[in-house]
Amino acid sequence: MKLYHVVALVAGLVLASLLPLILPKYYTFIFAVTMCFAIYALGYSIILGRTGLLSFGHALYLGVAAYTVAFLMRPEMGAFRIFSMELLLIIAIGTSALVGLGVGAICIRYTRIFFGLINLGFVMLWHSLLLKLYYVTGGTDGLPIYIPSLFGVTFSHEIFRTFIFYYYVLGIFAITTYIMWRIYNSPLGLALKAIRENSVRAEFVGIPIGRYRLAAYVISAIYAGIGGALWAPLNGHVSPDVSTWLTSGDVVLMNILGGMYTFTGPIVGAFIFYNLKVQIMHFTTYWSFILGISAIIFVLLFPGGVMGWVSKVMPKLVKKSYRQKA
Amino acid sequence: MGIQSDAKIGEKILQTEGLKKYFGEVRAVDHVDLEVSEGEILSIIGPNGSGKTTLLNLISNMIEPDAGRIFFYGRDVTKWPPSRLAKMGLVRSFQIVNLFDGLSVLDNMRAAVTSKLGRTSKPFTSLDRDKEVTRTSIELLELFKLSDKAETLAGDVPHGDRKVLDVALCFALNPKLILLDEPTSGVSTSEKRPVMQRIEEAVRKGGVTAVIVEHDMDIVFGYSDRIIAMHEGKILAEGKPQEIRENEEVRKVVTGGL
Amino acid sequence: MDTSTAVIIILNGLFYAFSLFLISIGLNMLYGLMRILNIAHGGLYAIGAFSTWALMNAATKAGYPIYVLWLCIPAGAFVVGLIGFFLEPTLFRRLYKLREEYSLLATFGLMLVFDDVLRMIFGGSPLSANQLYNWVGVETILGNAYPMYNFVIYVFAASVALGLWAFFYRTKMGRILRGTAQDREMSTCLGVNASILYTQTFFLTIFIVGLGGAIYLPATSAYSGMGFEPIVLSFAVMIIGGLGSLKGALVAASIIGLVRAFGIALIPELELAVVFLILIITLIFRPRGLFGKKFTREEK
Repeated sequence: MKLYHVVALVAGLVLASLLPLILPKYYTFIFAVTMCFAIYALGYSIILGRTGLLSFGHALYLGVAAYTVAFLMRPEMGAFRIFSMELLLIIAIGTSALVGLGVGAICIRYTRIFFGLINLGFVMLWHSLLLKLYYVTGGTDGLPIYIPSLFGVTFSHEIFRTFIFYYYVLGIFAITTYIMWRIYNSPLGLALKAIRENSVRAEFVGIPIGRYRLAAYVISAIYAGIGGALWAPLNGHVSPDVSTWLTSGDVVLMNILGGMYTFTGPIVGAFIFYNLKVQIMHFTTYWSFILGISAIIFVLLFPGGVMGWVSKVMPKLVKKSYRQKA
Repeated sequence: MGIQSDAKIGEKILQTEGLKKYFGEVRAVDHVDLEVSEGEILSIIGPNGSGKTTLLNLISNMIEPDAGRIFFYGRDVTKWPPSRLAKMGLVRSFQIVNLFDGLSVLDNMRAAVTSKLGRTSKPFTSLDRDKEVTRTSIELLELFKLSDKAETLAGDVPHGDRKVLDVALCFALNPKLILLDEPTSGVSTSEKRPVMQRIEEAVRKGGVTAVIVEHDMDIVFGYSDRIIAMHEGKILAEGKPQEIRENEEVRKVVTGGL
Repeated sequence: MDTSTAVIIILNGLFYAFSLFLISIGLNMLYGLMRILNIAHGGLYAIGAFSTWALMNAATKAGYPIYVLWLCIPAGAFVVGLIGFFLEPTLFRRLYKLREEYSLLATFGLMLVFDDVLRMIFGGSPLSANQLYNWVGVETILGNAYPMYNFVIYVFAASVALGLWAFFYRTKMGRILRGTAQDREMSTCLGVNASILYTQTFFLTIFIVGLGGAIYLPATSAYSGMGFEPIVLSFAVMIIGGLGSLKGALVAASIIGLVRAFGIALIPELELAVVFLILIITLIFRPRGLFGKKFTREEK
């Protein structure tokens, strides 16, 4: 990492920390939610941009994590109710990882497009189970999410949502981003790139492609789980809408929008996408239309995404894990 | 980096028994028994459709045989995945160049080297700081005279160098046996000898056993210790280059009066 | 469960199965030949239904006799064909060269566009045009009343299946298509002009799916979001039946249709979940599907 990278990072962190003090409370809330999706999108990038796997069902893990949190907080749990955010996070990570392992083990055996579709099948299965087993999951009404405690301290509803939790999420966002950075620059990161570039060759160079793809998949599931677990208390409520193939498509678009082959791309993409969505939905209910047109435009005209364009214009600033279009 | 093999000279390191592969009605490989000795360069020749490439694909476990078995150092490796074979020292290059086009030449090599050194399972160590990987990769590039192209993307490098890189990646794995699938195909005539030279040097230096599938008879007769001629999925003849050159049947079918 | 109920359930299952077949055969051909997974195919099916509704609605209001309504069906398909005619050079042609993941995202976007545009034009409530359905009437089968219009659909679907079979196995172009789907490199060597082939295949699939949407309308209804469910199930058909297999598409569609019908009748809570379960089981035990070819290493 160069000096200006470090400077930019520090400046960014400082700015991010000051945000709740300058902006209206509404924006603090929005940015906190955006960071959750940024974690989700960043984790997704390890399978899409890095390993070359397109999953069309990743919202499954958002849902699994969010519903896990909701479950553990239910009044029916009685004495076993868990309010500690730390504990909730750990358990949510655990369930996402387990489901990711199970689903991934099945999907990995399949070829490229089909990989995405199998994932789609799973998220639809999950969605229909959420709807049908309404006596457990609350059906279309969903389940409420209560305010968790942070490091043992409980805050009021207002302060939690619009101030304190923002910093908590920021901290986790910083940590998860750092971890992903390490993974990208590790031998495993190179192996995943190799698998993306030429999986046959990777195999003949001794890389166990199935195992590594599964590893990348589980990592992305965990990140989605973290994002989902953090999003749940912010949203205050979880419903089957969190796991549809629309929301699964969202994260793909976030990655492509921001730039599939750069490290910061997915994060930028998440920020732009989510904020745009919030703003646009104020004007029209035809968000799908706009989303659809944007997807087509990006695929045809800007496949490198925002950061891809930046890396062309300012190559020193953004390192692109370049790939020729086959 | 010293490439050494543990077996004694002359030991049979690869054997196939009754290898068969059919594509529908076509008998691509029809009951092939083959033996490869330690340290030799064996070439496989034959007209198009004789089964040479299929045989290579079978031996490297790229495709599964319909019948027969493959033994590497005496172990039955017929069902092994290629990644496991590669780690054991059986590697191959590809006729249609198979590289990581979007990565630099150096990264191509580093991918192979980290795989060999067993480091790929470490997700948190920094690749750039790993001196052994970088050193080994650079040494290998030098061995194959590719160091000046280290930072170039593999997809942008000239064809002859790409073929060499394809072979060079195999060497990163400390191979005992290397299968070369038409190493000079697509290479311009003036380039063929230099390319083959670089490969042969590395092979002899490292005491690696090589099985080469080639069409170019000059190359074949110039570099092989032993030759096998195939026809219609079966072995037609085998022997030293001179014997094969004089073999009537081989002339008729393969070399066409060379 | 007595025989007569079982027969009705089977008929219902086949009814649904054929709609899946009509959609998935297009998906199969498009993917097999051009490696494009057209999620928007579900949207085209929906457009077929809505256009036909609009035409039938207008025709009925204008007071045309009932046989004119029959003409609305191919007319509705024609509308879909027109849309395809517009989309092929502008969008699809550019997708042929892209990576699969990108083209998937583009067709996904297209599907979203279709869905919202239909909602903009026709609103959110379901629309039905049952005139033909009622006109053909009801007969009693084994003691249960059964709509005869469904048999119109069966005949249609069977003709499509037969027609496609004849096309793939008996005509020169069909054989080229099959061969190209199985080995594209070889086919270009043999001098097949790929892009003309692609365009012709594209229109064939558009026509089939448009006609499918049109012919099913009198028996069901056109509603917002109607393209999504059959698309996902059509993927399942494609996977379970196997890529590039006409037989597979028929068999898989029938299986899914029947399972769904029996599921709804016996265990309503699980319905779709059962179908996805079958999909998953197929993937575990036979990833290439019932009739697909084994994947080579390169395709993984």
